[in-house]
Amino acid sequence: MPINKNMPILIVDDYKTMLRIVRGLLNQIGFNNIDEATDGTMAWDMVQKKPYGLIVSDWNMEPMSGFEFLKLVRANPATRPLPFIMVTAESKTENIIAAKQAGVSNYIVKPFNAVTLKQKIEAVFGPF
Amino acid sequence: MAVKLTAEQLQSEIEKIAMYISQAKMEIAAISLPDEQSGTDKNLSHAALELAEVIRHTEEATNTIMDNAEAVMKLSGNVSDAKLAAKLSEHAAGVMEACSFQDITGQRISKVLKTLQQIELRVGNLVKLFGGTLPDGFEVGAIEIGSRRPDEDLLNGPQLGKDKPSQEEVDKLFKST
Repeated sequence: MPINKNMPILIVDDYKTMLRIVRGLLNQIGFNNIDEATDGTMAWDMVQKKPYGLIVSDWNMEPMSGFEFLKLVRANPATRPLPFIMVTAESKTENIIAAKQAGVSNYIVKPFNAVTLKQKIEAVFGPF
Repeated sequence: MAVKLTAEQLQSEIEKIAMYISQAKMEIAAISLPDEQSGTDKNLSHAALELAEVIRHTEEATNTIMDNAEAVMKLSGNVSDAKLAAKLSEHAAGVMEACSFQDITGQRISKVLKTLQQIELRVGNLVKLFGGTLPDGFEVGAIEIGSRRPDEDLLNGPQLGKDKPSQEEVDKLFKST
């Protein structure tokens, strides 16, 4: 899948500092078209209104978690092909297995850096 | 070997137990009372407030650190020495990345906060069970049993350092699943 660095990216996290960090890291690796959501409900609303090229989401959020959001994205034919990277502090084996089975494109454990984020985006879209 | 007690000794033992229960009631009530009623700030409500303040202060400090790191990144664009500019930008990015500690510590503190709230709830219920009176405005809700969220059994929060897998280990597991 060739990458378009102008594609809209949705980042989802309930911590404003984390949204700022992820946005900064994405800027650093060349992506500038970024929208933010603070939980799965808000994110789900946004993906239905705008054709995003990538979702980078946290897991542990309320009222709707990133995992529940992922399942909604994969259950809907219009959003099913959307690349979805989970960025989370949940690092137990059962979390990684559950996310993979739910159709996550890649899995990043917090804390992380720009190199890791770039590697995982490249794993989805190919090198850039 | 069975010990035979006289009626007086038995009464004395029962009185000691009653005193012990009475003392326990007061101590249990004290840890769940707000500062003004317990006369101390060493109670569960206060501990929860202190932790909430820790989250707020670290968030504020993190934002200030990030503001400054971003300013350094912008300024690095004006540095004529390209190598120095790249180094400045790299270090400022490192500072930004390190700020993710706020999310991890925030999640850990939230976990402790929830535990304190559960203890407070249970202590409150225990006071009621003992027949004690709770102060005005002190609500004791029902203890929730079962999951509140569909993926609650998967929400463990950050793991302790010794148990936390590296990104490489996560990648390996992710590929093999």
